[in-house]
Amino acid sequence: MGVIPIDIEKEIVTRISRGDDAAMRMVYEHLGKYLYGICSRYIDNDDDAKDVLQNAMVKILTHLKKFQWTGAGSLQAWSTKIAVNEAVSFLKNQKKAATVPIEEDIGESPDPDIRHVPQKVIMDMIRKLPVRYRTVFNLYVFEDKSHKEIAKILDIKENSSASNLHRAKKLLCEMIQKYLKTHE
Amino acid sequence: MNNPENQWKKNFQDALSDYEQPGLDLSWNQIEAGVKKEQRKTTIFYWLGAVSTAAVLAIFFVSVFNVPSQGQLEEKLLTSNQKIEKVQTVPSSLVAQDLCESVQTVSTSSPNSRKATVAEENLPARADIRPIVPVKQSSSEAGLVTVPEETETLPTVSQERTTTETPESVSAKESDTVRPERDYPENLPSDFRALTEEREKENRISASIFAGNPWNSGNSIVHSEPVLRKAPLYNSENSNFKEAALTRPFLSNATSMKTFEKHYQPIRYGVAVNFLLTEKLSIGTGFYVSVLKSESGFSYNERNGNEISQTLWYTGLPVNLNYRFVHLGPFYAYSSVGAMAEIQASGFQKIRLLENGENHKKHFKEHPWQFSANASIGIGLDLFSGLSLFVEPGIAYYFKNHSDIVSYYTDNRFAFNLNLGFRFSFD
Repeated sequence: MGVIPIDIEKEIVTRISRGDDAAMRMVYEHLGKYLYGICSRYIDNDDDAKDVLQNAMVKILTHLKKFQWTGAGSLQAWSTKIAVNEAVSFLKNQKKAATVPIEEDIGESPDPDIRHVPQKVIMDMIRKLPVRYRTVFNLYVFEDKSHKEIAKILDIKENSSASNLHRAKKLLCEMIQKYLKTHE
Repeated sequence: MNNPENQWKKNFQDALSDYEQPGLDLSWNQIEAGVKKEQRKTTIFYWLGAVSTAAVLAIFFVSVFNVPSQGQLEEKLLTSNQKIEKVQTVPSSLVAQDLCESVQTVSTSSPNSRKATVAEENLPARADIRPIVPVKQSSSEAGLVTVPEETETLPTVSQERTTTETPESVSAKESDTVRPERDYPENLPSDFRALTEEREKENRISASIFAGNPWNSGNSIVHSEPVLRKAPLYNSENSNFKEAALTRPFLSNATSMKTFEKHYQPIRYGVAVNFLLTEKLSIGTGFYVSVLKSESGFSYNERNGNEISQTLWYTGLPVNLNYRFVHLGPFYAYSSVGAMAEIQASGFQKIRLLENGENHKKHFKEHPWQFSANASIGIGLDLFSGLSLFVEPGIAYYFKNHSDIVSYYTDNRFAFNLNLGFRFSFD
């Protein structure tokens, strides 16, 4: 189920086809916080996340007239893609070096179990991951990208993408265990 | 997706599918302002594109179709007094007039022909002169061939050759003065040949002085986390940035952490010399001096960190190929492509520590090379006496220089520049 109710989405699309600028404000009001959440998942700093969100919203609203509605949730999916691209571009421009020391033996990477962890805590845990782990994790889990695709997007090796995901999962497992111990 | 191995992925996706981050304080007015700015940019971009295309097409068509016709050239020659003075050979009509004025004797042998014998010294050595006389129609019998009648005022002058010159030697002498390398049409007057060659000799060499990017503008990047690639500007001797890289976990707990990095467009001064290869193509070189200024710094906890200002001096040797594609009145336009090799002659950083206000200065010991390729279009205005004013917008691509020193060159692979200057043309 999407963030925008289907009737609201249809109304937005109708207004867009009529050239009604009120559609832009509706998009911002219904998708703003959701897209902010997406940007925050990639960028741990709030100010930078807001900058990226603003750029993404300007792009979404500038190209809104070209948007082709293909069904319920398509507007949300299209906007999400633009926001993710903006966030990844921002991170690539930052040219962040791999400052996390390389572990020689990463061992096994268990699957993180978040069934008993609230939404906000999950978000905070993801934001605490080192930037390279976090970016790979987001692209793999939420954008369903393969390691090959992630390697191409981030200009890294496929093996690096896989190892970064393993490390991200390991760190998340540690954080989840720690949280569950303190909130038993 | 129902694979148990991917169940954990699905759990994450379901958990955050409708998550909305709190604390969004962006107002609609900010977003709307951004959208309007973007729409204005798009409009300006399309207009610029249309105007540029129109200008290029206009210049192209004017240069292709504005070649003067042969008749226009001859008309210019005949009306210009200055050009007549430069003519090497004397028009036969003038010689005839001179000779007529100095006629010593005129003898007549028959009513229908008059001849005049002129003293030899008045005759040019190879003159074969016939004055232009009006043709008078014979009114006697129809069908007969009309022979021009000479009048008393313009007697016929015939050459009396007393020299030993033979027709063959005369024709050989004539051929000496013909310029075999020029392929002119036969019916052009001989003075045109002289004038064209004289004009082509002009402006073989030109020299220019200019200033590039005389304004001060810079790219500015503001981060909230330290930029850890070659930590802003010079790294290896800058211990503050080295420590920042090593103590990142500490800094990640710091509050209000900011960095900034600003690179100003290089200001360039130079002299250049151009040598004409063909009528429109020339090759040039010169000597350029470029000044690159940058500012950087980082701060955390609002009282720690430092600020750095950097100045680099580069000297360069360019090589350019220039093509002048139009010259209309006082205006001319040309295009230029080339490359440049520059070397960092000197450079230094001034570092100010925020904690205690201390200032340090570090001079760079290395002298990295910087290679670039460039293309530009120039427009010039002829002022007087070979002096012209030109403006030359262009684009340059800076190749990687594998140096640790971060500057405008390393941050902007492609850069626009604008040169303004004076050009002196001489031979």
